[in-house]
Amino acid sequence: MKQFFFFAIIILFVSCKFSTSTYKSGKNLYENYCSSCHGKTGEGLGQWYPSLKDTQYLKSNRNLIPLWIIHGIQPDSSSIFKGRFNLVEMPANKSISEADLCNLLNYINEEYWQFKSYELQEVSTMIKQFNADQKH
Amino acid sequence: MNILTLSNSIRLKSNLKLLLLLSILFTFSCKKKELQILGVPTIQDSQTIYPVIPEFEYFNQDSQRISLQSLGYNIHIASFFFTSCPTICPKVMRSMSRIADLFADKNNISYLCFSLDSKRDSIPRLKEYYDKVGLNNKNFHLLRGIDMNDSKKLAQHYLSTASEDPEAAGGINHSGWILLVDKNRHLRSYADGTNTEDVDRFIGDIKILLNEKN
Repeated sequence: MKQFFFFAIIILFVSCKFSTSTYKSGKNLYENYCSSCHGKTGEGLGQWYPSLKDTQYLKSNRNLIPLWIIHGIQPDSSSIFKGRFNLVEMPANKSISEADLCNLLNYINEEYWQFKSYELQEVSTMIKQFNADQKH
Repeated sequence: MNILTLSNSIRLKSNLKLLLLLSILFTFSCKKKELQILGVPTIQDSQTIYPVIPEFEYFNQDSQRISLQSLGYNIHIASFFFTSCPTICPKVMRSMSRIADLFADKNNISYLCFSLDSKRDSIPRLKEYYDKVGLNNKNFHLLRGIDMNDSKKLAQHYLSTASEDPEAAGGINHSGWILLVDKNRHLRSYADGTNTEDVDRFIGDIKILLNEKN
């Protein structure tokens, strides 16, 4: 009986990590929209295409990352997000759905960061808050 | 009469066998792959003439004038890009950088990346890109474009396309080929710069070209 539970937990763990549809959706989104610049394994290329493995910098910006993905990063002075290296534009993805955004964030988080995972409700609130702030 | 034809046909059969054996031997002895010259040839005075990359001169990231002549007509590897390209260029550049790293000890290969964005990609911007991508190879040249018309013409010689397209991400549509040009300015191989396996095959082709005698 003990053994059964042990295996059940392992299977549950493995399936959560690798085969859930949210993980696959996030992976798919990453490969189509992010991997060209940030690399197949998040390695980036120099500073021009930043690595996603700089966890210290990214962790301190955990709550901004969803907004970066939506609005992009523009190096010109009038833009909302200028980025750290101020070199090149990261394209905006204004039409991404909140669910897709959440899956993408959790995929990247699971692969490279291991921060607190993103909840749909939480991401939704971040976006609403940001939009309200922009209006003022 | 009958006997004669029979013996003839036997001779023919054995000749065929010999031919087959010879051809098998031949294919085995020619295991070494040779690179063809690419492009559509023309016949002039009963000589086959293959297209060549025309002479050009562009400024690189260090404001040096770079031409086929200044490169000593060495082997070069070419691709097209622009620094604000968010789609295929980063992948192609990653492949170019990988190839340049692999052949870092070979001084007779140049790497030419032609910028297609003459408006935004100034020499200082190309320099910044060179530094920040970390290319760091004196044979690696990012070349400033003159205008789209010129780029289009050049791209055609490299079997590539380039065009302005407001719908495309970054405003420019172009192909992601990486091309290998020999000392005689002939195209010898190409690969899809976004495809790692294809680039691996291409790297093999570079080695074959390096081993060619002429």
